[in-house]
Amino acid sequence: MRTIVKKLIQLVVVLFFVTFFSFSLLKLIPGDPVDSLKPFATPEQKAAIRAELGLDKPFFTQYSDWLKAFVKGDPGRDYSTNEPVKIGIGKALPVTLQLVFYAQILALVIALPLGILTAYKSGTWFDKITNTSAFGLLALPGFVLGLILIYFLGVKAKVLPTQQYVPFGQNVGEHFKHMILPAISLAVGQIAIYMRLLRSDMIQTLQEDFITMAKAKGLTNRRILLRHALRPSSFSLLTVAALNVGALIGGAVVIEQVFQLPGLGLKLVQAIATRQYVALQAYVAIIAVAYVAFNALVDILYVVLDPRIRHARAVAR
Amino acid sequence: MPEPSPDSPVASLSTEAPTTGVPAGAVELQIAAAEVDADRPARRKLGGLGIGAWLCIAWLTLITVGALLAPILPLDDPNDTLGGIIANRGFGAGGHLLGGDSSGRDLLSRTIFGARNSLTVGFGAIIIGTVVGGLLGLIAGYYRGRIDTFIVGLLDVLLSFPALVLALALVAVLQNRVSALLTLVLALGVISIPVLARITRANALVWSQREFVMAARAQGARDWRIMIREVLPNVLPSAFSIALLGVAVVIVAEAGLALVGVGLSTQSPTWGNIITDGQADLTSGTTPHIVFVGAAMVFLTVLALNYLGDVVRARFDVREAAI
Repeated sequence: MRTIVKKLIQLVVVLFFVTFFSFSLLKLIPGDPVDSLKPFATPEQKAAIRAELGLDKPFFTQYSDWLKAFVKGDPGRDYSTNEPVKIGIGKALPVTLQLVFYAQILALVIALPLGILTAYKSGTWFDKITNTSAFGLLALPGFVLGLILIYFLGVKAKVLPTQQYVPFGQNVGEHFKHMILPAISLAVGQIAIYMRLLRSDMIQTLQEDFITMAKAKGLTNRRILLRHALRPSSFSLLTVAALNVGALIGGAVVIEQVFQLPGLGLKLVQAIATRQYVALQAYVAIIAVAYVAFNALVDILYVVLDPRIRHARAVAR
Repeated sequence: MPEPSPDSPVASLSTEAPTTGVPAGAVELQIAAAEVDADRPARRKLGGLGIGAWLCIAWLTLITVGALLAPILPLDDPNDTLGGIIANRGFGAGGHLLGGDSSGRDLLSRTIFGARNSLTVGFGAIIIGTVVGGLLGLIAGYYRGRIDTFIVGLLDVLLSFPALVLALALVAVLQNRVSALLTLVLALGVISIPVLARITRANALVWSQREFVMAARAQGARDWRIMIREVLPNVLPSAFSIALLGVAVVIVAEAGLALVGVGLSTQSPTWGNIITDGQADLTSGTTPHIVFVGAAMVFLTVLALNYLGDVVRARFDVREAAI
């Protein structure tokens, strides 16, 4: 319990710094927002707008105002369109979350059996070929694979759609049809990482005494691999999979652009292109907060799930 | 935190990196190149590298030389549309080896001039990351205590942002202040700082506890001298291997930023811009070769850098856990 409380306090501190950093970073953007909002206003009018937007207040007051509004889920109005930013996020966030979630599941589903099999057959041709292909896949950027898939599966074979997004609630089948190529493209780099990681951990586990014991008892290979060896070998895989969510979100920015999925990444890029910096600030902060909170959650889950961590801490205390 | 092992192999005052063998964990790398073949001294003379590593070095040399010599090579101007006669035409069209791009510019020329920009961004960003990150890591690992806590906290804030998202935010801050090329180099340089700082710090923590550092201190050497002369040479190999992998990551990031439209101006040849330029022709199904050329350059270069990074890592026993 004490570890969990400590981690929660750490989380709050990190969140403070992260939001402060996103806020101040985008305050550094050159140009006065009022100039872009009302370029032909008189100095008095500009001062009035500045006061209305709170831009005349001291830096830290501006930050705390912004943070309060941000926590309420209202990052403010956009300087150029004067529309609330909130609505955009509510629509975009699920798209990105779905994409990242599907990619992560896909990567794990493919990497787990490959990792187990290559560890079991380590040194064989199957192992060597799989490993070489994995190494090649590592060098293949997701968006490049995405474009290749668009060309061969979308344009040439015409089996899958390559653009647009269909919400899950609207049509489940169409939803997955539209998400499968983006998810594959985003997952490809992760598959290689996960597979190699599981393989090397698994090879170590398979040399342990309890595996020899299990073999001596005459258990089937399947049972030994799945029930005895997989669990102790999968901890670093899970850690990396959790940390990789950041890489997946970053990758999703480009994948969303390639497949024209209206997610947070596409919004982020549009905000930069159209210089909507209030929105940009909100998107960057939301992504960072989500990422930090997710990692903290995984950290806490470890303490809850893995008795060894709890035990080690108790002994140390 | 890695602590210095009591049975350290080196107890001398030498600043040479200890010649640790290929670590057990390197089994996963499956790199024949890393396995130094003792029976064949001829291969040792080549640095003990296998054919794969030499192929990678050859490819990187080829594109680097191409990039450096691009202006004096017999190539068409990368921005000359040549009257549009080879626009969207494939390999070999009109005597142009790689054909033309969507506006008829010679694709071979754009690829080679693109290497200039892509490699400048890749190496430039990583040089910034290595110098700044390495310095931060060295200071944090050497002094420990409060300085360490402060620097690690700073890195943690940077790491709280998905790298590409932070890069986009930095591009928004920097663009129109400095040139487009410098914007990219700085933005991608900043996102590479935390990784390089962490690996340097982890190694500096261990190395600054060694006997030769103590000996140097006993002789009255100043902190900065110990850091530069005693600790730095030992942390460099691991930083170098991560830097090689980092160049690959930055080259991919450049292409990614180009695709989302915040890279160099679309006129400037870069591999990312070649892919972006060909995107419309690929999705319309007319001419996919433009994207494939750009993609192949990125793929081969990243493959070569990853392979060499792994070879260096296997040789110098950089622990994965420390990254």
